[in-house]
Amino acid sequence: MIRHALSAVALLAFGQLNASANPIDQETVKALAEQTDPAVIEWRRHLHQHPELSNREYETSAYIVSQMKALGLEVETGIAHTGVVAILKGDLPGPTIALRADMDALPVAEQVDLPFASKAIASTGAKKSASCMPVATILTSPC
Amino acid sequence: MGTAKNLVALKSRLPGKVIFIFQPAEEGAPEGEEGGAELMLKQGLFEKHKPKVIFGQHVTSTLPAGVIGYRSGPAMASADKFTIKVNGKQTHGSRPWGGVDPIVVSSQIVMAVQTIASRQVDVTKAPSVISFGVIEGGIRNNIIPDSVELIGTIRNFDMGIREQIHKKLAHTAKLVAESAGASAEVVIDKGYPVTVNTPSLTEFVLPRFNATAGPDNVREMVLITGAEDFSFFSQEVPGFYYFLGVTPSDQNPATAPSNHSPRFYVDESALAIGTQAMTLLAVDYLQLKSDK
Repeated sequence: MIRHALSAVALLAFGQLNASANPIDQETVKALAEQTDPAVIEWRRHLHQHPELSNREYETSAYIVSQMKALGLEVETGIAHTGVVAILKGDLPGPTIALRADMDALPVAEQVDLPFASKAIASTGAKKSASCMPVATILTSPC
Repeated sequence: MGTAKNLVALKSRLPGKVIFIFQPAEEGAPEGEEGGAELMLKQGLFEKHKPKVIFGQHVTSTLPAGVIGYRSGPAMASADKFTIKVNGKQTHGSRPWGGVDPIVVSSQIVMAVQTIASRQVDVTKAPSVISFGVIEGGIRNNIIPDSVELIGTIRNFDMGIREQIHKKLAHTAKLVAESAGASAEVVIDKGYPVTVNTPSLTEFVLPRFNATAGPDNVREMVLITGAEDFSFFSQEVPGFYYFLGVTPSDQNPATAPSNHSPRFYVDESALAIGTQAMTLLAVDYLQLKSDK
């Protein structure tokens, strides 16, 4: 009887120590990354085509908000003016980590012939570029 | 965004919370405005969410597509702007003794400042760079002007040496000016701190990079004298900032148009490696730390 109780306690303790009986492995992550790649490329091309300068990332911000909300994430806005923080709470207990990407572009006139080349025009008349964007596509910050 | 999409799919097995920070103004807020990582922190972002660690990724033209580059410890430089106003006294160019020549004094300051990085600081601790970008003054060939302005940048990898350089720059400018009867006003505008990748995190990330890109496609990088305001975040919590090569295989990364160039080009096949790397870091970190 006592031995049963002790095993039950041990199992319970072990179950709690082990965050998941079904841990996520690298193969799973790889498969997911391949599946989401088309979406990533689409996001990247959109952001590349519509760059915005520092502290003026209004459309970029709105686009990210809508895409993150569509994934079901809670979203905070207006941080450092146009900053966005999306929050994902996993179903299992654990710590919090941060992943960061930047969203602003530089006023560089793009000279690469691409179907999704930057369309933005700066006040000087030169086309702005996303050469320093898009960052947020895979949480990369190219500058 | 790609990492977010992946992690959402894994939500039921994910032990912990992930905040995805989409940060404005990394390139620097416009004049007179606050912004970027520093402002996000000032507004209490980390006090609110209390992340244990932060990761960031950066595409680069300097590596072939799909190669991951990293560096442990100080990886990217701090960047400060300095302005030196040298005040002399205007006089006719034919009678220099009638005034105090700030152009000659400025030239002396520029040369004296070269010895700070080359002669005065300990280069075995960290290299540093002091560059003048602007030297401006005067209106006419035969008038020695009242003043000259010098503007430049300081790049550093050691916060202690950074402070030393600030003091030495001001000291050098003021005393050289004084020696000629001029004066120098030095203003240092502190920019981004050194981006330091926590060494214990290097041990964590490397196997994940190897698993993602293959060990042949993971490379240690040399020091980068560019700066990043990710450094503000990684001053608060352990952080790791790494690089994803995007230069197509038929081009030489050493000569490919760089990130800020109008001809910068991204080989999109690299993006899946980047998404995978970041997702794996997130997943593995949470699984590792929640097992305690």
